Amino acid sequence: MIPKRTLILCMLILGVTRPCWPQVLTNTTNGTLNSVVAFGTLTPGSSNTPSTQQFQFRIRCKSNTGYHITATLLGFNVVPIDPAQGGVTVSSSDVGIGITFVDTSASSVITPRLDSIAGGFNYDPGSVTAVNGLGPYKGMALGQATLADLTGTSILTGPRIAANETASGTMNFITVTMKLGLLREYFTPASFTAVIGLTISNGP
Amino acid sequence: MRNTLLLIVVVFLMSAAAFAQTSGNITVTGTTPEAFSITDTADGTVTSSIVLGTLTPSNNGTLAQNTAQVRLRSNKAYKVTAQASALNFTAAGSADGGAALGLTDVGFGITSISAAGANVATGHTDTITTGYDLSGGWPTPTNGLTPAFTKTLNDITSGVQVLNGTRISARGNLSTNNNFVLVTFGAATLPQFFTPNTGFSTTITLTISGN
Repeated sequence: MIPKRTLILCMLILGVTRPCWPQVLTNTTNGTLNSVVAFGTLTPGSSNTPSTQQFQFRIRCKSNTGYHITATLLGFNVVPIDPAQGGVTVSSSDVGIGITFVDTSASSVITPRLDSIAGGFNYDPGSVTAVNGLGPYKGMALGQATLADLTGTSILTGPRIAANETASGTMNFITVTMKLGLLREYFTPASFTAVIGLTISNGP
Repeated sequence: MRNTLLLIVVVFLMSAAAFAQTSGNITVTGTTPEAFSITDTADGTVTSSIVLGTLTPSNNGTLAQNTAQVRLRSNKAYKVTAQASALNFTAAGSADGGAALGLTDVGFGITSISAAGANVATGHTDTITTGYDLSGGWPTPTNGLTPAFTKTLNDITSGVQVLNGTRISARGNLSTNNNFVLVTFGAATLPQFFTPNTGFSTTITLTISGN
């Protein structure tokens, strides 16, 4: 038998902790977002169209102050296969990143609404055409964000999404699609790994 | 009392697990592999012809010569090998105790190299294999006979390294107009009273690879 005082304490704990997390960010199966996006082998060719990969995640928010999503490049690790020998090694500024679609069509999503993509992220890295076979992305300030711009950067904001933020809900979320782009160039032979951290928080 | 504490801990952990899902990670991976290319001056497949024309003998020592240019790109140290096929003759006449044009009668080498593009790797260098450097020009024929070529097509029948160097391209791809080395290959021969024919040809295969 659980004492009454213990039950009250448990309810208080739940009551205190719940309001701290009025947003949820998950993968598209409502699990922890921990996806891998693989560009594969980027052999240089003659195309001026970048190679692209995309990923999606779901966000939920019941806060009356809305939400914002920040992105941080947690690491960009390059393992060279050969020495650079006076050439260029792929870097975070070579990888373009943008939000290509914000799907607000789930039936429980509050409408009308205005979700705002931050300047520099409202573009499709796959639609940027390179000039002279060189990396095309100019950076966030010029409307073409790269991984180098992810320094706790707010990339998407919006108002309350739904009446609840239950992670298992099937109609209470927005799906965000982000795309990455990288032109195949004669970079130093290497493999690279970048880790992007995404966080959803209260308020605009 | 113990059960109470346990319950509190469980409730606290459950509540955290249920509502702390506010962040996630995306891991991006890729490989920029070793890459080499050899193209024509339009960045297409090399199918150039070195035309020596009709080799009518004369009383001077003027060589029939011509060149072909290729662009080389790499993201690491490279080498180029060349291999010549046997000569093919069209409508070859009777030798009648004379000599036909042979691979040893056709000089071959590199007449120039240019690596001046802005996206050529810093400190890039090229080294022409001894004997294939024709930057000083072709040798002068003497007595109307094949001159002392330092190298001829006969020297590359088995695939021979003729050039190597450090990384060429700083970045860019095959359409970049300033990340390559422009190499000019030359061939020359002295028109002589060789056995007549209406045409001859050989195919020189150039290959670039890691050094």
